[in-house]
Amino acid sequence: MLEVKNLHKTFGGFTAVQNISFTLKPGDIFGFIGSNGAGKTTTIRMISTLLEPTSGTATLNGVDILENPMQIRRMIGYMPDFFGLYDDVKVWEYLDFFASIYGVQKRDKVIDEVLELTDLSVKKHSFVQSLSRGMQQRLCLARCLVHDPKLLLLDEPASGLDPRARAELKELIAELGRMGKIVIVSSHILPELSDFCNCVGIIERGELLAFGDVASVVRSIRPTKLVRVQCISDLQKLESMITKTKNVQKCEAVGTGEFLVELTGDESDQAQFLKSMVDDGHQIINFSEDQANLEDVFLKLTTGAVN
Amino acid sequence: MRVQLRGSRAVVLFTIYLVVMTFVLLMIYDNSLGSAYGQTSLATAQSRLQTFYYSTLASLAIVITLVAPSMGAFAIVSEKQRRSLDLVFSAPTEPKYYLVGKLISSYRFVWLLLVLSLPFCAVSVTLGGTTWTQLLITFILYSMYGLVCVSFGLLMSTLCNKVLPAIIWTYAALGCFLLVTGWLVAASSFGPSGSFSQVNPVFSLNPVCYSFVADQKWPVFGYEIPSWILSILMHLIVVKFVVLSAGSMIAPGNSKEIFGLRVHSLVYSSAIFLLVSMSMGPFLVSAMGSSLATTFGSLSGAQGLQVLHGRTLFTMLFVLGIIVVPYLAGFGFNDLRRHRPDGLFNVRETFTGRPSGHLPFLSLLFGLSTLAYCIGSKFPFGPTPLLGLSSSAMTTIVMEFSPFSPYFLMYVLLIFSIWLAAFFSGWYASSKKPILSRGRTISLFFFVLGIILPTAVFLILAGDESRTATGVWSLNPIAGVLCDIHAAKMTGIHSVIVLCIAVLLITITIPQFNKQVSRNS
Repeated sequence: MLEVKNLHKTFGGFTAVQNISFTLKPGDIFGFIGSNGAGKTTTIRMISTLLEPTSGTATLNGVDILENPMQIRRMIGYMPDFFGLYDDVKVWEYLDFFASIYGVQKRDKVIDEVLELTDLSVKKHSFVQSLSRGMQQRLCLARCLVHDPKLLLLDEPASGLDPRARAELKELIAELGRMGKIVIVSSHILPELSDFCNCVGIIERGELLAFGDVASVVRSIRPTKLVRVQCISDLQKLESMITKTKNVQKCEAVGTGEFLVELTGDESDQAQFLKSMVDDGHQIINFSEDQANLEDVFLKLTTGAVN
Repeated sequence: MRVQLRGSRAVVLFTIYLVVMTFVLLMIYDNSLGSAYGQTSLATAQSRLQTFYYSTLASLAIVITLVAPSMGAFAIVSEKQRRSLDLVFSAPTEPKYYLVGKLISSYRFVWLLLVLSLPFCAVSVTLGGTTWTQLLITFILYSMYGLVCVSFGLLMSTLCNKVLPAIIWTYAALGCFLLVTGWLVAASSFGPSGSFSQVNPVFSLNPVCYSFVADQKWPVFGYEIPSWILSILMHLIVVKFVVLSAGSMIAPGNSKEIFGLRVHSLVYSSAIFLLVSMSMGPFLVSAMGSSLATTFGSLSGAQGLQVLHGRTLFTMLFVLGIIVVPYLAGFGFNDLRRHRPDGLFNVRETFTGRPSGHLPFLSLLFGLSTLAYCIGSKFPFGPTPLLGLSSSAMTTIVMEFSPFSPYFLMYVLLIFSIWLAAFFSGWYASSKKPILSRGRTISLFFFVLGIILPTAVFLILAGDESRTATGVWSLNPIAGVLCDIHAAKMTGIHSVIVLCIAVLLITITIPQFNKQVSRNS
């Protein structure tokens, strides 16, 4: 269990992170969304004990990052937004070096396992500089996994990767979540995050604007449903009927025979609305809900401003 | 090691090293012995072989001086440029262990260089220039010197973000170290008679004295200890201190490294001040004569003694101040929390590295060093037997000196005022704009432009003949330290002037500083 409590960081007069709080449980994959300079990396670096918070703290399985940073480091795997690979080092040597830092027993076996998990077994004896960007990224992830951490902090893991490498990485992160690890992923690629994250947080100017599972965050920015109705019968009559319906907030003609209707209530109210239109004799050819996505949420909540 | 020596680069470099060494040493050999082959006696030939041996060692010292610092300077700065430092510190790695690892990996090259040069030195053993034992001890001492060079490189590597500045600063720091240790070796090796006696192993940190240290013993509390053991011990202390300094640079605030560095600073500084003060006997007697004759103009013998002690303490605290005060005389933007202005004087933060602890730490350092010096002045026989001094002379210089005497206190006040003014000049700069490097630079400028440069200017203006209290020389802020004894009286006036400057700086700094504190709280 990761509990972040009022984490705050200032650099002189500059506030990078403002009292961020959230809680994650094992198996959670948390998408951390924000513009460049919003405070994502600072937050991740504070959780990884690389940066001391100005105030506030975080605990991982009851261990405080300020009181016992060494124990925290044994429980986390931090992957920054750069590779930081050594030259003239082979893949297994690179992993062996970090495994020895973590004091891993039976290093050979562990290295083989993480290489298999990251699909790099065939590259075990290759030099790290000879790997493709996607492979180097997976090697960095393998490095984070050598000591079997409880929490993974992945800062922009998919940046610069081609679509195939991104898809592979996405699958790998989802697998890590299934293994019961807490994963924090910061990214700009919002559609991808909604695919495999079960909760998200939106940060701007160091402030956490929204936090929760994807559906609730989306719902929080749009409490009403937006329904698209297309009809081939009398449009004026339909519009008049819609506006008189109890749960309708707003009705707007958006194209030939098409209306965008803002509807309150739950799914049964939505079904009742469709039934009433059909019962009234309107020939409805399309009735669909306009689903909001993370991108809509992000654009609505944020202004694009940075500190 | 496997990774470091991978590929052909290492082999090529070592081959070039061997070829160059062979060429240079052949030239030296030819110069020493070649022309005299078959025409000199055995004794002369052996003496010349010894010259060849010393030349070989000198070549080795040059190679280590050139190679080892850059190995250390490259070690951490390359990690910074590769951005792999975060990866290491997100793992459970303590900065000091990381630095020790880096130290060992760079130090291995020093041993490789030494082992590769063994055949050249073995020539001297085979032909009679030295013995295997001497050679082995000298090699160990050279390896210690290499360790010191690497540690200096590591320190600068933690301070710089690019390779070239790191290398340049390392060579500059090493140059200063060699100058200071060279002076210490010279000062400690010549007794009251002015002739070379023995190299004091406590100060034998310079490669020029290693071959002497290798075959001498030094009496410590009645026991004859091989000097090289004491020398190794001193090298290791220096290395530990430098590595701790490097550790405090890369460690986060309130870390064990900063605590360790500060405690070590206090202990080592006090020990050095005590040791120097305890070793002053021969020099005091040499300067003043056994009967405390008045060689100091209008001052009597006892007053002259106060001036000599005052000058020595001033010089030592001045050197210590240049190293320590500018580093602590600033606060401001930095990745780490410890540089946020959190108050001016908080005793609880003395060992944490936060700005409010800087002034308490400096006060403690100044106080303990001065106290250690004063205690040592009462035992001027040092840890070693007296170098031919009469006990009556020693008794006189102990009895006649009091740390509470006015002339001595004038020097203490002057250096205290300089520390205070230098600290608050940096603090004022940081208060105007909280940038860490700004405060440090201004404080260093205070030492350089306020003290060292005027001294040089007045030295030129006054000339050798007219350094008196009444001439232009008396305007020199440290006239009382460098010139004729008359000017010692000026120390009091200079102390008051510098103290006024310090008070003025404090007065204008505190309101600005309070604004910064309230802005950050």
